[in-house]
Amino acid sequence: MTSRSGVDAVLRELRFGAAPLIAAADLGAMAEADEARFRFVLDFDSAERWPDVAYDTAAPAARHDDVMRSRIVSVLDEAAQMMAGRAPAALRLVNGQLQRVLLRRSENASGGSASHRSHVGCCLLTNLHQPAEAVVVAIEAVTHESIHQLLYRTEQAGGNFCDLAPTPTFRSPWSGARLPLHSLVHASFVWFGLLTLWSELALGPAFDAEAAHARGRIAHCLFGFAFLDDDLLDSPAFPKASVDAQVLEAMRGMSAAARRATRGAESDATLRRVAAARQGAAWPAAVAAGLA
Amino acid sequence: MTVPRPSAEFEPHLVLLLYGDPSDAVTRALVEGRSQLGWPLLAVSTQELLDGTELDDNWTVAGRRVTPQHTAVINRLPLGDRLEPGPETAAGTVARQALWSRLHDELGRFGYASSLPTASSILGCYGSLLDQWQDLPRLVPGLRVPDHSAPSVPRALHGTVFSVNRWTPYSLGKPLDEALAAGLTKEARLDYVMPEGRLVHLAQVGDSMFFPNPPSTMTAPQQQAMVGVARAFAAVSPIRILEHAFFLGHGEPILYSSFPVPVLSGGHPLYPDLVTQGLHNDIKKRGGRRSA
Repeated sequence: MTSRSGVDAVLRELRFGAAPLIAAADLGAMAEADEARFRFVLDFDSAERWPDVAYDTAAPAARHDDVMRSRIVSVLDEAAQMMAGRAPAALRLVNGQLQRVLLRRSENASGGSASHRSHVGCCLLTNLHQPAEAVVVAIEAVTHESIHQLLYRTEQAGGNFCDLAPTPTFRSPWSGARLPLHSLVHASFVWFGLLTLWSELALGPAFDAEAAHARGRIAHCLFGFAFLDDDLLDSPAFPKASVDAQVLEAMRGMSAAARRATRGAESDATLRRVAAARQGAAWPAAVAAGLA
Repeated sequence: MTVPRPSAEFEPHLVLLLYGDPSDAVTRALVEGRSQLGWPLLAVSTQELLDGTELDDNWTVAGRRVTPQHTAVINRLPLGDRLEPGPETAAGTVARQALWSRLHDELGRFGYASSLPTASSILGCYGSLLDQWQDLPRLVPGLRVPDHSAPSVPRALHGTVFSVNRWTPYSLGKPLDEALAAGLTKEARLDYVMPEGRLVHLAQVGDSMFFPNPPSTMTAPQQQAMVGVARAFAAVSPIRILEHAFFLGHGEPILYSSFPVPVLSGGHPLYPDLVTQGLHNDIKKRGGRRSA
C-alpha cells in the first residue's frame, strides 16, 4: 500500500511554483551546483533496445549523425538554461531523477519521449532534431519523463499505485488515447507536473510564440483535469478498488486544484469573456498563483 | 413506447434549453411541445449563451434570473469534436477549451442536466466507437459489443472483418481490404467482426424508450434484452438522451453504437412525445441530485 507521505512527497515535487522549503542560501548553492545544465548522460550510441517502441533503438539507422548530435546538444543546453532561470524546481527534479537519456531518430516513428518501468532513471527521446520549437519540446519531454521516474521510484519504495494489468483501457481526457489503468494514473501526476511547469515558464516568455505555446500547454493540461472526475473517477465503470486509496485521493486533489486555479483565473461572467481571459497577459500568472 | 411512472418529486421552476441546431429533433420537440413538458421552458441559442448570459451564482439570461439548483437544463449544444486542433488556430483551441470546461462546471450546478459536456463532446457522448466498445460493457455489465481490434487493444479477429473510422458511429465502414485501399488512417482505423443480422435502433430519454424501426423478426426475448440494456444505461448514465443501434440476428443483440443525437428516430412521429414525456419523468425522478 502506498503511504500518504509518499504521495504527498510526490505532490510537493510537482508543485514547481511553490515556495521552496529550503533556505535561500542553500538554494543559491544548489543553483550554482546545477550550473544551469542537465546532469544526465547523453546516450547516442549504446546498443540498448528500448521496449514497446515502433523501431529498433539499437539499429545503426536509429543513430543521429554528427550534425544532428550537435544540434541536439545545443537544444538541451538551451533548455537547461531556460529551466534554471524560470523553472529551477523542475530542473532539480530532472537532475535528481534522470541519469541517462537515449537520443535516437526514426523515420517510422513520430517524435516523442518514453519511459519504462524496467528502465528507471532512463528515458528515450525520439527525433528531437525535428521540431521547430525543439527547446520547449525538450523541456516538456525531460520533465515529463522525470516525473515518471519519480513515480516509479515511489512505487518501488512503497508499492504500486494501482493494478498494472494492460487491460482494460481508459480514455485519457488529455490525449484522447486509450491507456491502461497504470498509465492513466501516472498521466494524472505527469499532467499536473506539466501544468505547474508551464505555469511557471509562461511567467516570463522571451517572445510571443513562446507565450502562445505556453498558453496552449496550460490550457491543454487544465482541460483534462476538468473532466477527470466526471468522465473517469466518478464513473461506475472506473475500477476504484484497483487504485490505491491515497493515490485516488491525490488524483482528485490534483483535479480540484486545477479546477480551482482555472476558476480563479477566469472569474468573468460571460462565456465570451471567459474565453478571452485566456489571451490576457495576466492569465498565466493567475493560474500559477492558483496552483502555488 | 415504454414510459415508467415517476417515483420522486423534483419540481424545477424552469427548464432551460441550450441549443445549437434549431432543427435538432430534441430541440424541436421541446420548443413545439413546451406546453406538454409541465414547466416553463426558456430556449437559449449558443450565441445567446455566449454573449447574453451572465454566469454568476445565479445565471441571468436575457434579463431573467435563473437559479441553477431549481432549474433543469437540457443540453443540446453542438456535439463538438475531439480535441485535435485541426484547422483551428492555437488561440481558437485555447478559447474552445475554456468554454468547454467552464460549461462542464456550470451545467453540473443545475438541479438536473440531461448531459454534461465530456472530454470528447460539448453535448456529452461516449466518445468514439472504440471508446464505446471498451467502456460501455463495464458500465452495463453483460452488454455485448462487436469483437474488435485497435493498436491499444490488438487482437486476432475471425470472421467477416470490417474496418471503420472510429469517429463515425453511424457508419459500418468497409471490408478490411477496401478500407485500407481507401486510405483509412491508422489513427482512425478500428477493425471489427461484422455481427450477423440487421441494425435495430432504440430511442431513449431517461427510462422511456421506443423502437423506431422494429423488424418483424424481433423476438420478445431480444426486445427485452435491448430494453434491459437501455434501462441499465438509465440507471447509471449521466447522458439521458440517447439513440442506440443494435445488431439483431438470431441470438443476443450486439450494441454497435450509442449516440446523443437521434439521427434515425428523430423523424419518427412518436419522437416528440418521447422527448416531452421522457424528460418530464426523468427530471422528476433524477432532479435534485448530482448527475451520475
